[in-house]
Amino acid sequence: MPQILTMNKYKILSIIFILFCLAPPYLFSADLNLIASLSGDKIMGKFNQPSAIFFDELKKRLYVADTGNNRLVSFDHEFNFISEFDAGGELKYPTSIVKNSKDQFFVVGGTARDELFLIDIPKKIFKQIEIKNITARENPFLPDNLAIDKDDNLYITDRGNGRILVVDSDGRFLKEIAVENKFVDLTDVQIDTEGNIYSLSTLEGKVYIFNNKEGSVSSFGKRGSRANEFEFPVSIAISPNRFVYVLDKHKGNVLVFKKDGNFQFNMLKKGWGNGEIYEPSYIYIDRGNKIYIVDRGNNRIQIFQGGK
Amino acid sequence: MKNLYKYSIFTLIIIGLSITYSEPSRDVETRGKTCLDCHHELQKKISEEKTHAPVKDGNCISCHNPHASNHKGLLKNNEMALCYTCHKDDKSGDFSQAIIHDPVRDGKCLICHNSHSSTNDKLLIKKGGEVCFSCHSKDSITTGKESHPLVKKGECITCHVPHSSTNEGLIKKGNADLCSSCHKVREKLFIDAHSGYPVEKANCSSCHNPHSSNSKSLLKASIHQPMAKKDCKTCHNDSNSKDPLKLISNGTILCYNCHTNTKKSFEKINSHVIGNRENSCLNCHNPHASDAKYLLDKREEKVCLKCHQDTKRRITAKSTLFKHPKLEDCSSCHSAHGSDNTSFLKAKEGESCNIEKCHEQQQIFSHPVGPDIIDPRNKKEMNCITCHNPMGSGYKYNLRLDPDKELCEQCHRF
Repeated sequence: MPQILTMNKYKILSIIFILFCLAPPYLFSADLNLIASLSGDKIMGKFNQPSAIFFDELKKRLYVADTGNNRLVSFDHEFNFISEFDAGGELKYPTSIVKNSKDQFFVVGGTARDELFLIDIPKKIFKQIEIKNITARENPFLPDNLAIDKDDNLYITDRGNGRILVVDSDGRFLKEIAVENKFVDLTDVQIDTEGNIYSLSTLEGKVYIFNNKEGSVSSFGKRGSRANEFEFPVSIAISPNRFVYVLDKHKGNVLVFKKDGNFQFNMLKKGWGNGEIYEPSYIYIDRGNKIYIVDRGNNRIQIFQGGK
Repeated sequence: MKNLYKYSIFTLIIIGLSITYSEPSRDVETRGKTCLDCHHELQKKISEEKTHAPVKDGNCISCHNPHASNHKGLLKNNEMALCYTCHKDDKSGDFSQAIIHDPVRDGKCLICHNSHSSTNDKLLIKKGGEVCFSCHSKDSITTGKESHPLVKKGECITCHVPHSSTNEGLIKKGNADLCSSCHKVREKLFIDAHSGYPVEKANCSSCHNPHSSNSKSLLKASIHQPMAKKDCKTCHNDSNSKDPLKLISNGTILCYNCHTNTKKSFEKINSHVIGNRENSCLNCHNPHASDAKYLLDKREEKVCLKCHQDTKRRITAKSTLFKHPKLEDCSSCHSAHGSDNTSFLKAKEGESCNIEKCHEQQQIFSHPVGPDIIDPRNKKEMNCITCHNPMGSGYKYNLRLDPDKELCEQCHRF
C-alpha cells in the first residue's frame, strides 16, 4: 500500500512537471522589483509630461527630458536629484536625449519640435545641428526619438517620413533606414551591442529588426487585444540578454519577446499606484538590467530591477 | 410444392429489397410530416415561392435537433456555424474578402435572410434594397435634395456586394471602374465638367457623394476652396501639361503653402504628425470635398478610430456600459493637431470637463479637486478624470473603478 502511494505521488509530480513544461511562457510574470519612483520634490519641482530618459553607464547618471517644463533633469545612481538644465531658457520642448562618449548631449526639441541640439556643458556649447545632405522625402524632416551606438553614431526617427536617419557626431548624414511600405511609421529606435537596429511601428503594431551584418529586415507583432498583441505600442528597449521589450501606452504594460518574435510574457499593469503605469511614453534598459519607464500619465519616472 | 417454396422466398427477397431501397425517401417524408404534424404554421411557409432546400426536402433535422439543444429554436448549433456548415466559403471567397459586412462577420445571416422560405430571391426577408434599408435607413442615405437614381430605386446591389469585398464600402469594383460602367467618362461633357483634367481613373467619391447631395452633380457639401473656384492649378500641374494630375509640391509643404497658420497648431508638446511617407495631412483630410466638417475624409469619429483601433474596440465593448454623450465627437475634448495638455486635451486636465460649461454644476459640489488636492497614488493634482473616465467605463457615472469598493479605497485606506 505505501508503495502504491509513493507511485501515485511520483505520477502526480511527473504530471505537474509536464504541465509546467508545456504551459505557455506568458503565464509566468517577470521577476521585477520597483526600486525608485521619481515624481519630483520641492527642490526640483514636479515633472510636466516627461518624454524620454537616457542612462549614462560611465557616470551612472540618469537624464530625463522633462518636455512640459522645457528642461533636462539629472539624477545620480541612487536617483537623487542633481541638477536641471534649460540652456538659459533657450531649450524648448525636449523630447529625446542621448549622450556620446565625449560627454556631449544630443537633444530633440525646439518650439516646432523639429530641431536637433548639441549640448556640451564643459565647453558651454548649446547649438542647433543641421544635418546636411539628407535624402529628400515627401515631408519635411521631423526628428523624434534618438538612439546612439558604440561608435557614437546617432539614430534619429523621422516622424515626418517614417524612417530612421543615421548621422555621425558632427551631424554628417550617413544613411537612412526605412521599410518598403510607405505607410509605416517608425516611432522609436534602439541599437544592441552588435549594432542591430530595433524599431517600432505604432500604427502597424510591429517590431522591425534591421540586421547589421546581413543587411536583412525581420519583423513581428500585430495590433489586437490578446496578451501577445499590441494596442498602441510606443517605445522599444533591448535587455542585456537581447530580449525585446515593447511599451504599450494604451494597454499600460510591457510585452517581452525573444529576438525571433517569440512572445515571452507581459509585465506591469495599468494604474496609478506605485509600480503601475498609466499612458507611459518611453522605456529604456541599462546594462544592469534596470528598466526605466517614463510613466507620463502619472507624471513620474519608475525604475524597476529586472531579473539578473 | 418445392417450386412454390422457392417462389415465396424469391418474392420475399424482392419485397425486402424494394422496401430497403425505397426507405430513404419514405423516411424523409415521414420525418417532415412528423415535424409538420405539430408545426402547422410551417406548412404555409413551405408552400411559399422560394423554399430553403432542406425545408423543401422535409429534412428539418439538418438544422434542428428534435430532442434538445443549447440553442434557440432547438438549432443544432449557433447561427454562424450552422449556416456555414453548408454555405461554405472555400471556393467563392464570398464571405472572406478584406472588407466584410458586419452581419456576415458576426454570423447573423438571419438579419437579411429567412431560414425557411421567402417570397424574395435568395430567401431575403424583404425585396431588393428594402433589406438594406432595414439597417441603413434610406433617410440617412438620402439626406440631400438629389439622390442617385439607383438609390431612389433601391438597387443597392448594382454597386455593392452584400457579403464581402476587396473594396471599401463593400463596392463591387474599384471606385472609378464602378462609376465608369454607367458614366461616359470619355465624352467631352464629362471632361469639360472636370476642367479638362483626366479624372477617369480618379476616385469619384473623393468629390461626389454616390448616394445623395444638396449640390449639383451630387458634389459633397464642403468643397476645398481652390476646387470650388475651379482653380486646380493651386495644387496640380496645368491640365494641358504632360502630367496634369501631378502635384506642384510634395507632402505637407503643399498644404502649408496656403494653410500657413495650421503649421503652428502642430507645434505643441503633443504633436499629431503621423510619420509615414505620405502627405500626413491626407491621413485625415480630403483635399477635394467632404460631407464632414474641416474637410475630414470621413465622419470625425471614423477618421480618428481608423488609427485608434484599440480605442474603438474599448468603447464598443459590451463591458463599456457607460459612455460620454460626446464620445463620437472627438474634437469636443481633444485638439486634433496638437496640444500642450496631456492626451491632446483642448484644456488642462482640471479644466477639460468644463470647457463648454458642460459640467458647471459638478465644479461646485464635487469631491475636493484642484492644485492643492493631491492624489496620494501618483502625487498628481486631483481633477475630474482622476475618478471618471470620459472614454467610457463599466461603472456608472463613467467611474474608473467600482464606486462601492476600490475607487475610494485606493486613496482612503480604511
